Amino acid sequence: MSKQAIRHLGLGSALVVVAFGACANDPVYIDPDDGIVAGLETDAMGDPVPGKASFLLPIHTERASDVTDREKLQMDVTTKYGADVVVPYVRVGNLEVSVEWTIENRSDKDGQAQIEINGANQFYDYDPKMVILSTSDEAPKTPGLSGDVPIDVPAGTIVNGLFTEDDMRETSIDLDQITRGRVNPFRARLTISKNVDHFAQLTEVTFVDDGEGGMEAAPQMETGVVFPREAFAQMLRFDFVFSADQEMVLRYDVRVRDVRGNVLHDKLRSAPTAELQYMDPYTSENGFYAPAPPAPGA
Amino acid sequence: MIRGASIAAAIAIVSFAATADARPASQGWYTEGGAGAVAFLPKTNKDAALGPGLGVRIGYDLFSFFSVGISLGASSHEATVPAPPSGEWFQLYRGAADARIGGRFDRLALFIEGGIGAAMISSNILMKVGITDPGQRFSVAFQAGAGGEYQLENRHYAIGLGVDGVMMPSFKPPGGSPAIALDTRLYLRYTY
Repeated sequence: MSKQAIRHLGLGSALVVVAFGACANDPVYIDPDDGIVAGLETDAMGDPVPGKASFLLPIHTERASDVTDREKLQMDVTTKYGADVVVPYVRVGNLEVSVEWTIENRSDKDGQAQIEINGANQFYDYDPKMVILSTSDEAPKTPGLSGDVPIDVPAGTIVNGLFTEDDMRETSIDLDQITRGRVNPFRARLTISKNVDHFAQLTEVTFVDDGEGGMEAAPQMETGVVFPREAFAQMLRFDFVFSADQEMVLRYDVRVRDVRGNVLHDKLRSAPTAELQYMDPYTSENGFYAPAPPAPGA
Repeated sequence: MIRGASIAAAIAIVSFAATADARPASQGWYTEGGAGAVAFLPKTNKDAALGPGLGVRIGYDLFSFFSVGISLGASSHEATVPAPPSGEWFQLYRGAADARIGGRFDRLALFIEGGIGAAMISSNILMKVGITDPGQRFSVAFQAGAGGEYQLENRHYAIGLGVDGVMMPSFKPPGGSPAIALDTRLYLRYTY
């Protein structure tokens, strides 16, 4: 075989290696078992009862090499930022998650729906109902981590949409900011943090008179603890809250790119339980984040 | 019956090939690079659309009528599974060792080919409809096809059109037969 032929063979082999190397970042699609139905029941006040469902990512058990990498990163982070910053097993940037959804309006009336996403990372669960920031009746309710946008769904039709990778990365960072960083959920939700390289932990939420007979959250100070991006915790469980004023069903599909390459189990939700790091139902190490509410009657 | 017809076609090609008047063509190591389209046959085509494909082949002419080679192919397809998800694409990668038998008719050459190799799907999106199982990305691939080549005046170059059927037994829709992809490509061949 001539040198030219060998060169062509080499080039061809390199192209093949590049092509297959690109596969490392291919997405996987994870289906929930069922859709979420809403709009069928009403509560005592006559308001529609939202449908709820949780979805836990099938994370592979932490291997010895993962532990070594994490401990090395922990040492680096501790040296630079102090011992208060814990590096999680699954970090922001290890996975890129997006959620595609459809809403089917099964009724014969036009309706409106909302999808709210909350969830949990390794350290905390977040449910906005457990975070009380004001005693005023007129205060807006504590926001969820993502969504909460009214969606018009004409009678008998299906609409679709997407929580993008950017949306879900922002959601993960907001969750970490609210819980470990103690950032006010309104502030976390309304600021764009998907590209930040660190955030500062704030003092515990305290409350002051809002001038209208109620209490509201007071300004917070920085504690001096700083969380660098390499220690941001990835959201692992997604809690969907689906509200609708007509009978509707939400179907969704979670698309994940395993950027680190070994975080998701190959068999996804069919994986043996012993090979999954987190069990369903999943509760984080510290449970629900619930800052001390305003004093009763204050 | 198909095997019998293939053998008969091969014998016919070799028997009637008139090499004496054939346009001069190099023989030996060769490479091919081509582009075309890959389509799945029913039932798989319900969930995977026709997509563009690329392929390369490296081979060696053992005789004027027989060669062996290695082929690699990649194609991209929109997954048309029930939403969600929608508008998502996956890639099908294939590699095979194959053999080709054929003959020349002046400027034209006809051939039939067959081989065995492996196929890989880039994502699990077809798991939603049961074509792949959890964690399954690979399948054995059996391929067979035919094609023709036009020899250019330069003895090193030929252009060709090839069609291959690739059966992947591990990728199988529920209640259906194994997935078969039809790869049609226009290619350029260079013989060293």
